[in-house]
Amino acid sequence: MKKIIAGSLLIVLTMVPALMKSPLVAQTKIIFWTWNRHDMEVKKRLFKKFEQEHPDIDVEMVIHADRYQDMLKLAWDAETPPDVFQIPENTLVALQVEAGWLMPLDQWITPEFKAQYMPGIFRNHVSVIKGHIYGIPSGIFTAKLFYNKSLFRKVGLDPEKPPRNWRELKEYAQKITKAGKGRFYGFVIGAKDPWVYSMNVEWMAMVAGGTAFNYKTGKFQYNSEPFKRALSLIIGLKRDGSILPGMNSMDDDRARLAFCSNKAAMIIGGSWNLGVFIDQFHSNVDFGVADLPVPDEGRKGLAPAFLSSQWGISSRTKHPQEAWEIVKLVASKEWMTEMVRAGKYIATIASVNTPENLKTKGMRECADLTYHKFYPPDPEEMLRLEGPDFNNVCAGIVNGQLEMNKALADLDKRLNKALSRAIAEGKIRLEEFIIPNFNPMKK
Amino acid sequence: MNIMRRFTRFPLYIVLILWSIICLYPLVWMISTSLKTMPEVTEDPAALIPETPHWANYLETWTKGNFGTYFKNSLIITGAVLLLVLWTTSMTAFAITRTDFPGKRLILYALVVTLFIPAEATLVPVFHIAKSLHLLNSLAGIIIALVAGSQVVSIYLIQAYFRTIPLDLDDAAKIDGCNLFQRYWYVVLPLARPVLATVAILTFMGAWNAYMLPLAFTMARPTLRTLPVGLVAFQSGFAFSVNWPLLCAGAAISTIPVVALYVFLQRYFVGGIAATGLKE
Amino acid sequence: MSVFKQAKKNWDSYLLCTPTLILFIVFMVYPVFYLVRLSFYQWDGITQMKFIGLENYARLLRDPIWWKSLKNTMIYVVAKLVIELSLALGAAVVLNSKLKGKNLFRSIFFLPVVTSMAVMGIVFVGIFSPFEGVFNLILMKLGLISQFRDWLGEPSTALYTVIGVAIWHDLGINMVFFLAGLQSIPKYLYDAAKIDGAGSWQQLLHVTLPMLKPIALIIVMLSVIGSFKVFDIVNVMTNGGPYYASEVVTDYMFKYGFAGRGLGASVVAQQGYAATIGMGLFVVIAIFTFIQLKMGRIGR
Repeated sequence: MKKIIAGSLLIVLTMVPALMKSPLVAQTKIIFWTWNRHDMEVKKRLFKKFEQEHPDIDVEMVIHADRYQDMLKLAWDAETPPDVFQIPENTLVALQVEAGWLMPLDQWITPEFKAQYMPGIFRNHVSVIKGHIYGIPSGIFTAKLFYNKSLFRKVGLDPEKPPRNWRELKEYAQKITKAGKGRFYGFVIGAKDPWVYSMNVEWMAMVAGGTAFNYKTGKFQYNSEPFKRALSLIIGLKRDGSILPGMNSMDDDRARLAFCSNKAAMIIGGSWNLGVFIDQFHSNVDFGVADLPVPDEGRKGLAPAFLSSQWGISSRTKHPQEAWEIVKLVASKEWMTEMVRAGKYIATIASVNTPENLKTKGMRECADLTYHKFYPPDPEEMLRLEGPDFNNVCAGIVNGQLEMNKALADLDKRLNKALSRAIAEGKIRLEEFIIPNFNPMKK
Repeated sequence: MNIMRRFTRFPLYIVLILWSIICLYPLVWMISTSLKTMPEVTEDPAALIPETPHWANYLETWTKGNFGTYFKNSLIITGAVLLLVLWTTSMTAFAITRTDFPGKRLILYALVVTLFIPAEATLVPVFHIAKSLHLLNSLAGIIIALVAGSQVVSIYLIQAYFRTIPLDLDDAAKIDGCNLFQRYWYVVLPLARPVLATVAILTFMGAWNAYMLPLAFTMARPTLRTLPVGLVAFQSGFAFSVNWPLLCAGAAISTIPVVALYVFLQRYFVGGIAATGLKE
Repeated sequence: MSVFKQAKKNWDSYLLCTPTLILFIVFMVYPVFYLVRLSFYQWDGITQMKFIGLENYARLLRDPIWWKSLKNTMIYVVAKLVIELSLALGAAVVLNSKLKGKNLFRSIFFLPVVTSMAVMGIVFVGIFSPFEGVFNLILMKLGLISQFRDWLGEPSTALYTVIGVAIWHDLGINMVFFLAGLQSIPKYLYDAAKIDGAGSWQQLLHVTLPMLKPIALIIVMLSVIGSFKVFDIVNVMTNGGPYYASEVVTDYMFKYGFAGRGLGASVVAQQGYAATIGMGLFVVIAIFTFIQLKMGRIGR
C-alpha cells in the first residue's frame, strides 16, 4: 500500500516541475501590449521589419481586446507587467502614474522631437501628468456619421447629400425604413453594451453645445438641454420604428455588420469604423462619411476628435532603452504613414496626412477636422460613482424604464457628490479642470 | 411502472421529439453554420443545409487560431485535473465515511459553506495566492486551481456512494490485517467505479469548459491558452466577433470532444449517479 | 478518550484528507477571508486601498440596483426550481418507463448540459434575434405573435428569455439526478403496491414521490445554490440589460469588480464594493439554505 501512495506522490511530484516550464530568456525581449485588434496585421508587418533592422530586439505583441485594463492590472499584480503597454487617452493615466506603473519619457523627448507633432497633442491629464510626459499619442479618431449610399439611392435620396441636421436625419431614416418594408431600416444602434450611448447621445449633445462637465463651474450637467434633446432624438427614431429591431440584443460589432450588409442605412461611430468595414468585414458596402448632423437651428458646438494610440513604458522594465526604441517606433513618421495608408487612424504628425496617404475609402472625409475639436479632459473617469453611469442611464431612458428629467438630475447629483468626495480626499484638484473661457465652438 | 398506458403513447412521443429538436437545434445550427460561407450566413442564417459544405473553415480556424496548441493544453489540463480530483476527493470521502476523527464535522461544514461563494468573487484572491506560489503562467497553476475548485461537489457525490458500500467488507479486510490505506485502495475504490465515472464526466465538463480562471492565469503567455480562452481570443482577435462560420467551427472544435466523451461514457453516467444514491 | 488521543489514533484519516485540506485552505478559505476584508475597503484595484468601515454595507442597503438584481435572482431561482425541476422529474419518470427509444431521448436531453454556455450564448443570441431570428419566425408561423419581438432586448421579456435558455441547458442534469433517484427505489415496493391494487397514478403518488424525497431535497438544494450563483448565461446573453432588467447579483458584482468598458476601456473598478455585493449574496444563500434544511427536517 505504501508503495502505491508513494507512487502516486511521485507521479504528482514529477508532473509539477514538468508543467512549470521556466521561460527561456530571450536576449532582449520586449513585451508589447495593445487592445487594438483592427490594425493587428499592419503592426505585425511593421514589427517584423523592425526586428530585421534590429536583430538584438525581439518584440512580442500581446492583444487583449477584451478587458484590457483588468488584464493589465492582473499582470501588475503578478509582477510580470509588459515592458511597453498601451495607455488610455483619458484621466485613468493619472491613476496608473500614481500607482507607479509608468516611467516618464522626459529624458528622451527633446524639444525638437516634440516639434514634429501637431501642436497641443501632449495634453495635461492624458499624456502629461504633473509636468512629466508618459505617452505620445500617435493617432486621431473623429466622430462621424456613416451612411449607406446604395440604400440612399434605392429609396431616391441623393447619395451625395447626407442629412445635415436632426430633422433631416429623422426624415431620411423614416423614408428609408418605409421603403425597406422590413428588409432594411434607416438607422442602427447596437446597444447591448450601453457604452454606444456615448456615441449616439453624448457626441450628438456636443454638436448641440453640450458637455458633461461644466468647465466654468466645475459641476456635472447632464441634466441640460443638449443632452435632453439628443436623447429625445434617439427616442424619436425608436418610436418611428426607424431603428433596426433588436438594438438591445446586438452589440456594436453586429450593428456595424448590419450596416455593411445593407440592412441599415446610417450609423454613428468613430473613424475607426473604416478599418472595420473594409479589413474586418471584407465588405464592399458603398458607404459615405459625413459630419454629425447638427440641431435644426444650426451648430452649437464642434464634434469631438480623440487622440489615441499612445504607449507607455513600464517602470519595472529591465530594458528601458529598448522599450523606448519601440515607443519611438510606434510614434514615428514611418509607422504612422503605414497606419494612415491602411486607413487605421489619422496621424498626429500633420505632414503624414497627405491626400495620397489618405487613400483608403472614407479616410479623407474622416481626416477633415474642420468641425472637430479636442475637448479638454474632465474628471469623470477618476470618480468613484455610486450607481449607474451616464451610458446605463441613457439605456434606461431610451427603453422607457427611467423618466428623463429625474434620471439625469439624479445622475448629476451622484456625479457631483462623487466629485466633491474625490476633492476632499485629495484625489482631484478641481482647478486643474476649470476653463473659465470655455467655448464649444472654438478649437 | 405502467403509468404510460394511461397516456396514449402518440402525444407523449410528440412532446419528447419536440424537446429533442429544441435540444439539438442550436448544436445543429452551430455545425451547419460552421460549414457555410460568410455571405451565405448573412443571406439566410436560419437555413440548416449549407449549399456546399466548406470543410476548409475548420482548417482555417485550426491554423489561424492556433487551435492545435489550445487543444493540447486543454487535454493536458483536463486529464491532470481529472486524475487529481478523483485521487484527492476519493481519499477524503473515504476518510469521512469510514472513520470518525475530531474535526470531521468542521471539515464537512466548511466544505458546504464554500458552495455559497460564487467563483467570480474569489478569482482575484485565488490569483494572488497563485502568484505567491509561483503558479501563474504555467499549466500546473491552472490545474491545481481547477482541482481546488471542484473538490466540494466531488467529495459530496463520492462520499454518498461510499456510504452505500457495506461496512462489513471493511471489517472483513480489517480482520485480514489491511490498514486504512489498503482498505481504501483494494476494497472500496474498486467497488466505486460507477461514481468515479460520474465524477469523471462532471469534472471533465467543468475543466474543459472553464473560462475565467484559465483566462486570468494565461494572459501573459498566449501559448498556454485553453480552447475556450483561445476561442474567445480568436473571436475578438480575428474578425470582430462576427465571422460566424469560423467562430462556429471553433465552437464545434471545442464542443465535440465533450459530446463524444459523454456519448462514450453515458452508460456509466446515469447508472453512476443512480448508484450514488445521492443520500444525505 | 481525549480529543488528542482520538486525533492521534486517526492520524491515517488526516493523511488521507491532507491533499484536499491543503487545496481547500489555500484556494477556498483564504479567498473568503480576503473577500471579507476587502468589503471594508475602498479600492480601485490600482492605487492604495483605503479602510472605510461599514460604508460599503450601508451603500449596499440603499443601492436600488442591488435590490433589483437580487429580485431578479430570486425570480430566476424560483422559476428554475418550479419549472425546470418539475419538467426534469416528468422527463425522468417518462424515460424510466419501458418506452422505446428512451436511451436515445436520455442522451439527447442531456446533450445541452455538456456544452459551454459562453459558446452557446452566441448561438442563442442569433436564434432570438428580432430581425432574422428563427424563434420569431416559428412563433409567427404558429400565429402566436403578430410582429417580431426583441426577446432578449425588451425589459419585460429579457429575464424570462434567459431563464428559458438556462432551463434548456440544465434540464438534462436534473433529469439524470431524478433518474438516479428513481432507479434506487426498490422494485418490491411497486410489487407490494400492485398487490394492494394501486393504479399507476397511485403508485406515483404513494411510492415514487415519497421515495424520491431525500434525493429531491438534495437536487433542490444544489439547484437553488447554483441558481443564486448564475453568471455566465446572463453575462453572455444580455449583459444584465436593458438597464438592469435582467441583472443578477453575480453579474452586478462583476461589473464593479473589474474595470468597465468604453472608449479607451476605462471606468475605474470598485473592488471593495464588489466584495460587499459578494458578501451580500453569501448571506442570502446561507439564509435560504438554512431555511431549506430546517424545512427538510420538519418534513421528515
